Amino acid sequence: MSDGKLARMANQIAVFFSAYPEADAIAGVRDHLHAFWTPKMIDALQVLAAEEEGEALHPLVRKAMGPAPDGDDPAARTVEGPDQLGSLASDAG
Amino acid sequence: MRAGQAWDSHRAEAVIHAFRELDGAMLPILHALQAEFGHVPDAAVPLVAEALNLSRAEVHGCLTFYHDFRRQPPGRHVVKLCRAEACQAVGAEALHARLRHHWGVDWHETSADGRVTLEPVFCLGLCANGPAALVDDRPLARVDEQALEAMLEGTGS
Amino acid sequence: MPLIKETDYGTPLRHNPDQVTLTIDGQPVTVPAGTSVMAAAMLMGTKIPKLCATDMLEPFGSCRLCLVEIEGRRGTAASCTTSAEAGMVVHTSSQRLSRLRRGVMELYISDHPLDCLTCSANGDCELQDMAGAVGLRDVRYGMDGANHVHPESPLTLPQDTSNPYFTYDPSKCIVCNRCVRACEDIQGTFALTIEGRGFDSRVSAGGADFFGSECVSCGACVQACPTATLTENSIIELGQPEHSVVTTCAYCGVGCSFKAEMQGSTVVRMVPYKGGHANEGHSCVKGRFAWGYATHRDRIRKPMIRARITDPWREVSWEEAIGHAAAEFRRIQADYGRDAVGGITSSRCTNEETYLVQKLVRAAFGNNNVDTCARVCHSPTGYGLKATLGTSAGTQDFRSVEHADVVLVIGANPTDGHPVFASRLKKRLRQGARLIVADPRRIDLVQAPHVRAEHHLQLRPGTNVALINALAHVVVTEGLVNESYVRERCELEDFANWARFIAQERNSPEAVEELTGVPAAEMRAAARLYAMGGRAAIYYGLGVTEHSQGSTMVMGMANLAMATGNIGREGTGVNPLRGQNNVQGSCDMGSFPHELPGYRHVADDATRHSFEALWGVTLRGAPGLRIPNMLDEAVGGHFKGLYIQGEDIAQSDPDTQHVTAGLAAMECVVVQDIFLNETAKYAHVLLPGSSFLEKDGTFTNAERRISRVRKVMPPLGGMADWEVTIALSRALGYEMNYSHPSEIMDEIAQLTPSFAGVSYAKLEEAGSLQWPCNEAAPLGTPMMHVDRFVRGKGKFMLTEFVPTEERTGPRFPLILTTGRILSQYNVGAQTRRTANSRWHEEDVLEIHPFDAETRGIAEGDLVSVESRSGDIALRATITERVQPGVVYTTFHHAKTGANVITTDHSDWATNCPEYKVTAVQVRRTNRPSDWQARFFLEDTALTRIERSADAAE
Repeated sequence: MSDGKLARMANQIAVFFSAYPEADAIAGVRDHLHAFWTPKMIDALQVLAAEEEGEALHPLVRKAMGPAPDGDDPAARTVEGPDQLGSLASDAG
Repeated sequence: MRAGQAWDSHRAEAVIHAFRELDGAMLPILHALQAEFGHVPDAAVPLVAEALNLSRAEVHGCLTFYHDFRRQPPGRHVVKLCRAEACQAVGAEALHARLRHHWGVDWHETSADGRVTLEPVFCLGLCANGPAALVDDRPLARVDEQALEAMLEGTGS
Repeated sequence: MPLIKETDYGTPLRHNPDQVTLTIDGQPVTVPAGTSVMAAAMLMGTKIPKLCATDMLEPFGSCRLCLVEIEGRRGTAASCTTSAEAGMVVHTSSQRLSRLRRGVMELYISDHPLDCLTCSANGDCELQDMAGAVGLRDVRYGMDGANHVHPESPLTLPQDTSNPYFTYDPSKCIVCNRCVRACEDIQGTFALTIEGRGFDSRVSAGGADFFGSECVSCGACVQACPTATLTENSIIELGQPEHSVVTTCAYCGVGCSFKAEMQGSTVVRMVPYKGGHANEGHSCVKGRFAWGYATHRDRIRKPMIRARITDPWREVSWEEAIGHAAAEFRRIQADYGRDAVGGITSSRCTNEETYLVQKLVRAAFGNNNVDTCARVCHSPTGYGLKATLGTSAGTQDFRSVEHADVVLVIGANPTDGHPVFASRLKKRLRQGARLIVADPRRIDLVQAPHVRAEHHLQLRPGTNVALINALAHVVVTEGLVNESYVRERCELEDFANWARFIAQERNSPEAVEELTGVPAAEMRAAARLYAMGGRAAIYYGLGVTEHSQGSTMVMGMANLAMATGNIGREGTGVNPLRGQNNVQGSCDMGSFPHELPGYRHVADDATRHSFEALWGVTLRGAPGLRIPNMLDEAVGGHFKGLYIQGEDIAQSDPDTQHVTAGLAAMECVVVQDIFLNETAKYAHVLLPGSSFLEKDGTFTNAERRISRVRKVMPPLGGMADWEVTIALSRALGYEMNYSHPSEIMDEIAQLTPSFAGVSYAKLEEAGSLQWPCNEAAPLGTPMMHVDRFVRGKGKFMLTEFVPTEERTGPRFPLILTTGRILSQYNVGAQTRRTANSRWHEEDVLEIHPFDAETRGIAEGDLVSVESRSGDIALRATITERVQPGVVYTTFHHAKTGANVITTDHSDWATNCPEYKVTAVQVRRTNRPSDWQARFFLEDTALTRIERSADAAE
């Protein structure tokens, strides 16, 4: 997938979350990327974010690609198991 | 009676619009269309349906239920002969048979020369003076062939 | 299994907590208040003779056959129109009643043909039954005199065979009015009427023949007709069926239940099953009549392979085809890596089959590159509803609409796309519920007989979120929020943030009036109606999801519903009208690259381990590729193999030229389908698929209702789809052992908490089950979020309007939006191979008179439609259903290539393509486009089949 397309997709995600306060927005973007993108796509985006020039990336994307706060595993947050939500809640969500 | 205007969808819309807010507007609209055009043209059915938010079939059902509504343009004159019991008792049936033969039409038909459209009606309320008829909406009592012809000629064709 | 005959109680059964006890023929019987005497008698097993009564319709009282004697009352009452009352004493038979009934039958038969033995209704005729029941022996009036039977009689009308599926024979009509009433009350189309009066009365399709009338060919009249007057052509041709099997329709997301009535393994007809909870005895033209594609001559019956897509196909044995496919996949993984292959599950195949395909990808391929068509339709529903409510499925069942006071239909066209649901909706609207429609086009629902939208918010495509924000703005700023509901059920901090956001001036109706094209006053009135009109329900479709802000819009609708307390009660909800017969099921079964069955993320260790334990493999914990990404990777040279079951991405996915480029770049495309579809033109292995008539399994409809699909004939290719996947998996080295789909469902139940209580045994008993179905809800769950949301508390999400990147301009000044029509289904692979094509032979472009005039386009002209992606040519029709600046077409015919011009813009969250907004220019042309010229060439070049010498046609 082209860098241009990756950047475009990442920017669109960032635009959605930009309505939120910065800390939440960064977490939102990071969580979304980890929930839905393949590791390869995330790695490629990481490379783009590290570049000073090249594809224009939304600031939130750059920040989301930075190191996560200690102990924060984005994957764990996207996944609330059935036991945390109650019996009926289960995996319909 | 006017033979009716030529079909004009704008005119029809205006006619429909004038009556559409009435409760049970279908019949007043159909009557008004017939008064305007001499009959209820097929092209009017979808317009009525749309205006009243009904299906074309529903309009069609109402239209065909009442024999008074004509689907085709009439001849120059519309003659309605009463076929109800009181008129029957004074020989209306035989009279009608002779008239049908004379004009060469059956009920609801128009003569070949376009002069007369013959329609049946059932009771004009002239029961003491039968046989009764309407010639272009003018009531006529104690009719026979001569009276009818005279009436038709008198209107000038 | 014998022919299933459902009991006809004569009048609808009433549900009423109050019961009354009456005595019928000496026996006491207790029934809900409001039940008719006729139904009460039937409930205790006594069949009172009837002709104009049927329990699908309200009583009419015209045939006078069902007369009974009631003690203490004079005369004889019609049992259909008489309500049972406490203490009533009824006699259903007596000498007087016998004479009266026989007299009625004499009158009927005096104007009826006496050709029972050669009549198509022989064996299935209520008139015949009644004549027998009343002991009719002779007709005193003779058979001469005025009649509708003899050819010489002036009243006799010719047969109407204009509709390809059924025949209307007026000579057999007893004018019971059942067909007219069915068309009115059940279907809601009002296409039939009684023409004339008295003895002249005849059923008429509005003065036209059936095909030329307003009839939509749903078959309700045919089903209602007690004689041979309206009969299926297949019955005329084949005779009466001898056994039947209940199964589920394979077209849309309503999932109607049908009785497949058979002669051996030949389907004679499909009759809607009254016991089906989704449809309750109704159907549409597709499920009812358009099932002939299953035995069409285009059906692929033998596996085929070819080395290059330009080679002709070679018919081979199953072993060779499967062996070749498996070897190729393994080779590709060896050469290009584990992630170079993937699969696409079908939203038309059963839950069990979908489960096996994703299992094959995860366990046999060893990656998570599996996706499904929901990507291109309702994936934003999944994302948006999960974020706000905690579940990605519809919240109510269809019956819930019976309790709605206000209905808001957004981006959906139910009369065309979900007809049986639309009939329910129209019935409720005729009872007085109020309707708001948000759609760029004037869909049928805006004004139809007896139905009128109070507000038609005719917005410009691409401005959905601006509209929904404006409606919410009104609710918040005018104090219409349901505060107690929000306080009790939602996250308050998120609500406060959202309320602050939505109250801003830029989200007001006045601020977005020009952008959306909807008058501010209309938006305000609609918002007030939704908030204050009582129970308000939102029904939405792809006009919401297939946008670059699809997920945002879904969240916006959820926000609006939560703010007004319209989730969790009958008659409310946020209801996605899911398109395919099993798209809900395919999502449930983990067809997404980031989810295992049951919507659990692949990164969730606990879930993954439970699957690994049962499947005996290690599974990847990171998301795989979605379909658009698979194609991007293919074009980039990294993705080389694809196993596609029952999906035609070359026709249904956007930006066709990109799709075909991706497919052409792959080394092994395996298509498993019932026909050679557009994608198969780029395939190297073709495995014959099986239709819904040829296998056992389950489908899950838009109500989360799991229903059985039952096999009625052997698979034409020799194997059902699930058996093919097992064979392929085995050849790949991963054993799958199931002897029957019920075992697959048992495994699903074991691994998926919301399916834990589902089994074939339970489905036999219950008929159907709505998930979640487990210990907490042993009989399933009709309505979700009743006491609390699935995620606990509802979450308001901020939905800033972001215009799409697809902009109009001088070069492309119009917006093209797309949709569906009743008679054809999606890409038309099935419906184009039935007589349904007679209603829609080609896709046409709807264009507004202003736009047509400035371009010199007349009705029927061939026009070229060009976008930044490509151009196509099709015929134009001029109509005011579209607004100036917007054009519209359907995508049912491959040769139209509607997706050649759709773009690669998609929803930010799910990559659901933005089919609904394409900037185009339209101009007259005199030739098909280059793409279409290539299409016609490839239609022959890439589909040649080299049949073996002894294959006789």
